[in-house]
Amino acid sequence: MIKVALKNLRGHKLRTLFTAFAIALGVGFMAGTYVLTDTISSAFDELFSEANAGIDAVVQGAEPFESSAIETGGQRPDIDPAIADLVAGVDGVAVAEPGVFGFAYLLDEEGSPYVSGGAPSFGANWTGTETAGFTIVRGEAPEGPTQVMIDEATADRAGLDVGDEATVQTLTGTFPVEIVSIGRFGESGSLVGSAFVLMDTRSAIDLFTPNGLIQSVYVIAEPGLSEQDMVDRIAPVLPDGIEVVTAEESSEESQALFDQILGFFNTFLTAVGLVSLAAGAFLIYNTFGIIIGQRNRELALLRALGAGRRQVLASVLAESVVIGLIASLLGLVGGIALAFLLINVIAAIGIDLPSTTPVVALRTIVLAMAVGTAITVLSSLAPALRASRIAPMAALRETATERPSRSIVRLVIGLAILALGVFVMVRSVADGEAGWAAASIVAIFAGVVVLGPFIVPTVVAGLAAPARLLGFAGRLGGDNARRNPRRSAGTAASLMLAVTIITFIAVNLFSFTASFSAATDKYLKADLEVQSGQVPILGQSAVEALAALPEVRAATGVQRGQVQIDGTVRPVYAVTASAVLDIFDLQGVEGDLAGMGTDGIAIDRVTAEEQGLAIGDTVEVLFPDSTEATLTVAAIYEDGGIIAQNSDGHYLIDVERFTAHFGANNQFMARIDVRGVDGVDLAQLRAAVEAELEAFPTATVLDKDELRDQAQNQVLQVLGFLFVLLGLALVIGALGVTITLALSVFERTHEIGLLRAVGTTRGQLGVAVLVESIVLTLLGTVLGLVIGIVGAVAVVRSQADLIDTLQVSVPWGFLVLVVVIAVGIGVAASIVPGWRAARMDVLEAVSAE
Amino acid sequence: MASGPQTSAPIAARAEQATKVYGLGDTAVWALNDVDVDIEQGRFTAIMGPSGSGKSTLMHCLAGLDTLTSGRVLIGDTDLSTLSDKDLTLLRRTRIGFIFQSFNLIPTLTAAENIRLPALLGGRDQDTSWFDSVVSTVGLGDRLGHRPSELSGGQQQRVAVARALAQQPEIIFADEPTGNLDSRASSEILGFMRSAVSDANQTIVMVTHEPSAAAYADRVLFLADGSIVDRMDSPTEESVLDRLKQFGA
Ligand SMILES: Nc1ncnc2c1ncn2[C@@H]1O[C@H](COP(=O)(O)OP(=O)(O)O)[C@@H](O)[C@H]1O
Ligand SMILES: [Mg+2]
Repeated sequence: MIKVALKNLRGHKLRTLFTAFAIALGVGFMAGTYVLTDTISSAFDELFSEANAGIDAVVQGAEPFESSAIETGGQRPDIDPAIADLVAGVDGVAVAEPGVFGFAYLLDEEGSPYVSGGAPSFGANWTGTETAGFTIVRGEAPEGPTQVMIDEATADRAGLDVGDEATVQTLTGTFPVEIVSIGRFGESGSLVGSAFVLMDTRSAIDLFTPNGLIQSVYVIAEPGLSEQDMVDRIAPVLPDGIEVVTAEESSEESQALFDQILGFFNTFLTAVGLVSLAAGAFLIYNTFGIIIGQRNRELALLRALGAGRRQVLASVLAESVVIGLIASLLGLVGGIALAFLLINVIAAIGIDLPSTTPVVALRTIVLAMAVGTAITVLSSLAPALRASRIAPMAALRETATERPSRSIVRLVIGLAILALGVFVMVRSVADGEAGWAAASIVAIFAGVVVLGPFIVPTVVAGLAAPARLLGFAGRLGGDNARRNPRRSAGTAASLMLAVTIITFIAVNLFSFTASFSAATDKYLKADLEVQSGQVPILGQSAVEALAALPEVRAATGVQRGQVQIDGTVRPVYAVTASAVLDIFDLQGVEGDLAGMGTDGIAIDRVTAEEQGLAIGDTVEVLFPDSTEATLTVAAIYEDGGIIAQNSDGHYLIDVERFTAHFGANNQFMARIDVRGVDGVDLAQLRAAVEAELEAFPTATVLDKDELRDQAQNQVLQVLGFLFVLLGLALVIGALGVTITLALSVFERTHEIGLLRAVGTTRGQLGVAVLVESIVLTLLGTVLGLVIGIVGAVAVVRSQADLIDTLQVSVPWGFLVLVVVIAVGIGVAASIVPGWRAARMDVLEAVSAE
Repeated sequence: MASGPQTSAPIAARAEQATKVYGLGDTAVWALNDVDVDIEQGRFTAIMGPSGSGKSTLMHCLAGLDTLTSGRVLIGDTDLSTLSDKDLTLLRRTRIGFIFQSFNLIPTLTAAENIRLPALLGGRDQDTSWFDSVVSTVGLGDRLGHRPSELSGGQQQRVAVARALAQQPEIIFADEPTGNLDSRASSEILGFMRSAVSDANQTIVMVTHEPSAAAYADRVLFLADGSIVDRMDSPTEESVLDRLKQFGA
């Protein structure tokens, strides 16, 4: 029987290949994701060790509680430069040098960064020893506040060399410099495309860090002492809040932080891969169903000749195992190739990874093979069971067509799942449970899939109606799309999945952007917003400079960090307390927010009630620098969403308090909101603000209209990105349509021959297949659109209590685009089967018995 | 109103030195070997011969479903070898009718739509009174709305006959139209074909291996090894059987 299975595969090479390809796409995407993230991770592993190559120990601020690296980028506190001297005095320490590490951008004469495109640019100190991580390629060591060394890769890319002049942008403004040397980082020469500006230690502390503190002390031991010896000797002399770790631990820590961010990325891409695999599963299920329907007679004959049920089952399953293995292998190889390609693309846009050898972990191979094979076999299980139940009698029957499966059992199960989904959806919207609303979509989707064969005839009749305009051929195509409801439903399922997800995300994004814009209109009292864009350069000094302008009534930045409040880690937002009520409408404030000062904290109403806090109560706050402070609840406000730009804006503190306890690299602001004095002309205000920001040439100033446009554009970008990723599932859907059509055309050989004999032209046959293809794609698309829109509206509406400016926004233009793309897919999917139908040998068709 | 064998009727279809060879060299099969034949208009012609003698090949070539290796075929005045695939298709749609042994109908269409299929493909309107008369002749009145799967084999063939007749084509080709039917259904179908020729001056060419079927025809052509070896006018079942026995001997 296994031999029969293998023979079948060989006999239908094209079909086998197509089916395998659907699974291979999903597997390839997953495998590619793992290879890519593993490769990036290992590249960084190498880099982080390289950065610490000549070093034995690192002295750094200790974190009193664990913060989320993804949200804060790390909150290690800064330390006093004097610690370097303290450590240098420890017995066995050969070198102890301060390590400064901040952001610093090299600007050209126009004020644009030399290195753009997302890679960061760091400011560090040149120590003249191995602790710097750099070696001089040419030129002299930088000395004083106007001399810098830059890294070789940046110099090459920007066309800069020793003797050139440039401008350096930091948090505190810009200053002119002369490039006195070119340095090389470690051995590879570049830290994944990021730029470096190095100055002597004194100047680096003065210019790169706003608080005069340093980030670490790098230690080199005297010969004969181990890393651990260093740690053991240094630890006892360090004051509280400062720790020493071995160089190896320090590298591992950087790596762990990075891996956390990479893991996020990995999870996201894996989810996309799983969607593709699910689409592939539908395709396999449907294809096997059709094939087994067509082989009914052959299988029955086998049974009549004495093959047992188990043997038939085993033969079909063996076929699927082989397809699964081939597909997984194809996917694995393709995924590795894709990752390799991406790594080279990344390198080509300037983010060099030190090694471009893809890391193919055993885990990747096992996972790809197991997931691909398992999904294939599971999807073919139901059709295989059906095959094994074919009665030997079926061999003797005249017709050998698939029996339509529209059993009562299916109807009852389908309706039950659908009803459950609808019930949960209605309840969750009423109760404001967004999570449940999202979950209900899965049930509704499943219900529609199960009910597919019942829904199809009506929906297809509607979709196919316009095809009659194409004449009789159009009508034939529409009829063909309807003649086997289970097949049509199964074919449409892959597309339905992709379209449901795309639509769901699109409607959500548009709705929340609309809601956000409405909130901006209603609750943002600022006239202008200054944004730092890709270059993090805005700090409190800029806020104060803007606030001091005569045209400006109030200005505040918004900073975000994590603290521990009464034992729990919470996000806090830092604002200029005296200005905040002039800028943001918090929809009602009890207490004195403007005057809360550094000892006060403001809390939103919901959190205050949850924690049982009232004005005048105190909370214990632990800051990243280990300072514990008792803050008094100075104000309770109704809604801080406008500050946080999401719904977790629960705690506000004054910026002065924040600045005192957070490291230099946590002091950047993404935005500063500015309100003009009453009656000031917007253009005049803008001119004044822009003039004041001359020292921050990369900052952009936006008014409210521009903010709204910006939000829209960002949504479109995200959507475009998602479309590309989910395009994979769309491709699988198209593949499913092609396979179904090809199998149907094959099955209708006689019919096509007859049509040709009685005068159907090749063109007419092509049109019929085209219409069938478009109707099938539209079937999946329309059902997906409906489920996606309904689901997204439910999820959005369920948050009506949280967001008072909530708006449901259905992006009709985008959805029309989805339909247009679906029609395009339908056209593409019909090409091969349509060509086959049109070219079918009439004689062979009419004389085939 | 069958014309006598001696009067020369106008020609509906003609094969001239028709040769059809399958394959090359030693393995070549001469399915038709230099066949000259005239199909006279308004007559019912049967083609008989042993299996593999080239009956279907001849019919397919006459009907424009297949092309000759050499020689030519004319339908009326039209030389089929000069036509493109598209023109051939239109010729089949408008000037030729077909009845096959099985798989004659499109399963998604009703009986009525199957009958009007060539007209529907051409976007033409069917001549309603003629349609009604054909439908009543073949006795399908109450079955017109049914799909093929709801019809018996005999009813399906009646629909096929009605489709061929409904177009009033210049010539109808039938390849063993009763091969799958019992004798009662067979004689019904053959009766309709006979009366179409006698009453409506239709031209029909039918391939068959049953002498009883051939007896309905005005003339029988006997094929063997790709050549026409004999012809017989006004055949009866007995005379055809006798003739076949001669060949067999
Ligand atoms: N497509 C083909 N390829 C090769 N040989 C063929 C083909 N079609 C028919 N033949 C051969 O041509 C001869 C005549 O066939 P056919 O016209 O079908 O005979 P009949 O209808 O009288 O049984 C036979 O020997 C048959 O094997
Ligand atoms: Mg034959």
